[in-house]
Amino acid sequence: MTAVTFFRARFRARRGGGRVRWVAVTLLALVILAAIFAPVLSPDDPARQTLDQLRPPSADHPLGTDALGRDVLSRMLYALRTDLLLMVFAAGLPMLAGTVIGALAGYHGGSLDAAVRWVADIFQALPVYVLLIAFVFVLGPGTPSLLVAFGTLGWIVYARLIRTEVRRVRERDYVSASYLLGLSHTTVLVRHVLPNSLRQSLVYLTTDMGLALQGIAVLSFFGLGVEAGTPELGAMVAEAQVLLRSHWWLAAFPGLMIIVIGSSVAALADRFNEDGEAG
Amino acid sequence: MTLLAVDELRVSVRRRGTELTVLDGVSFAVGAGQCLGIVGESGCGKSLTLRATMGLLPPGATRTGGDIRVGRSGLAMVFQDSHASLDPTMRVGTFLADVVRRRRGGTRAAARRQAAELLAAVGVPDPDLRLRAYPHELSGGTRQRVSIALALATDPRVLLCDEPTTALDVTLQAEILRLLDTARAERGLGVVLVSHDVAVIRQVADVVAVMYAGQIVEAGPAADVLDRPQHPYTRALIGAVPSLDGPVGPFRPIPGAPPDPAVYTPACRFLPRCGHGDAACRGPVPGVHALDLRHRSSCVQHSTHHKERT
Repeated sequence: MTAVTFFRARFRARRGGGRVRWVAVTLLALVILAAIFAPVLSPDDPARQTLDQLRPPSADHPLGTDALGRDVLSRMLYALRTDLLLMVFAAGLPMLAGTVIGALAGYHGGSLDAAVRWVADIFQALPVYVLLIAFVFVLGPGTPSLLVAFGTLGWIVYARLIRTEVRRVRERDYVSASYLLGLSHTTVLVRHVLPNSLRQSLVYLTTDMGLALQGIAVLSFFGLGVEAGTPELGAMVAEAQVLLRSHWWLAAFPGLMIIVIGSSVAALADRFNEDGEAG
Repeated sequence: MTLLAVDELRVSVRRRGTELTVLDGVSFAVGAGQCLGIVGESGCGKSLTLRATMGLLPPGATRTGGDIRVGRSGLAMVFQDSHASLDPTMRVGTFLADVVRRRRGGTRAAARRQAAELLAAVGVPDPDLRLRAYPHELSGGTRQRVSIALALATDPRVLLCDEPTTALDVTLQAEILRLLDTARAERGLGVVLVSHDVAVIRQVADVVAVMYAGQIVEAGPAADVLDRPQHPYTRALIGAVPSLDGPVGPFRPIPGAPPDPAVYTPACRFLPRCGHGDAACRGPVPGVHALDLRHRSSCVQHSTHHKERT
């Protein structure tokens, strides 16, 4: 095989990475369906404690039971609900905030723009995880503080992306045209500038959802995530940590699930990015 | 009746810390049903003149002088590249209906009907279908028709057209020019048409202003300017276009390139490329405006000017 055909084959494999995307989409769809139908699929109430503690996988408990005798499969299915919802909000809210701030800063420019850039620079200079932990520590664990923490730290990247795009799109002829045709600033910004500025942010959103999932899992692992007792994948791994040598399944399955969701989302993000570059 | 009068328009841009005057006292007027053609090489300030008139200067450029007399709502602009002047993420019908609604009020449905009528009026076949299309789904000609429909949706008194046909092939070019002509006749619209193409200007303009290096160097009725040019630049510009009826000969491009705004002087700016210069050309040259229908040129060598000046 000559070098040219080798690279051509590689190129084709990259362009036609349909299989990876297909697998990722299927896995994500299965996970989402599992989360939606958790009440139907669960063999047991995820919160019900029994004296059947720390059982290995069996017909009654396909993934065994944990230290409090709760069915691990049921807890995992319900954990999917918690994690997927958190993931969407922990990435979605910052995007919403960042888009609004970035769009206003980029469109109006001036002192607002300077202020936003100043704040963004400061935040970007600080380590994210330390800030996340600090935030949740101050606000106390729980879903709302998680979302506040992600929102406060996450908007910056979106604001930067959107601001740059808006400044680029603002100079386009169709924006001048819309303005000249008598449309108001708000209309021009919302209907013409924003839709043309979102693509990069959407690509980043998919990446960010994967990061958010990990972030939530990490925080829950440290006991700073969701309320104690709420089924959550990271928390499940954390609880199972001390039993890892004797009861591997307790940590393995939730951990595997984090990997599956995280890598599927990442694979999709990659594909989005490539499509974006091609188009 | 004068619909738009631009008087002594001056625009400068900042480049590496220095102010460069790129438009230097440009004056013109357009009346109802009249078409003013502005012609010149690339970079002579034609488009900038339109954009400054429209209040649409690119970043870094500022209007440093001049007077523009027109209601802002009275102006609309058609851009050169219809691909860039239509929002790629919006169906053209939505855009058009938005503009109609903003201008004339009424319900969404009514705006949509009017949008379809506007498209039909500019000769778009099957307007209801086209309203649902995105700009990239339309052909170049149809897209330019849509841009014209958009501009007409605001009921302008004057239409500023920045090379509206440059991106189109010759057949479509003729159709678009006819369309502009019709709109002009039916609505009593004033039209300012900017083009580097002498043939386009000849086809539609009543009055012609020739621009060179940020100034109008010759202006007057189209027939006078194009058939009896006084300024050597105008002669060279017309001469550079091979004629269909004339003898077949080599192309006669104008030697050299337009000067950089950094070296603009009060003297004749065409002098370095002109074959007929003498000492008088190095002095200040008279300014030329297109405010009325008299034929004028800034060339001091031209006999009429000599008579006028002495």
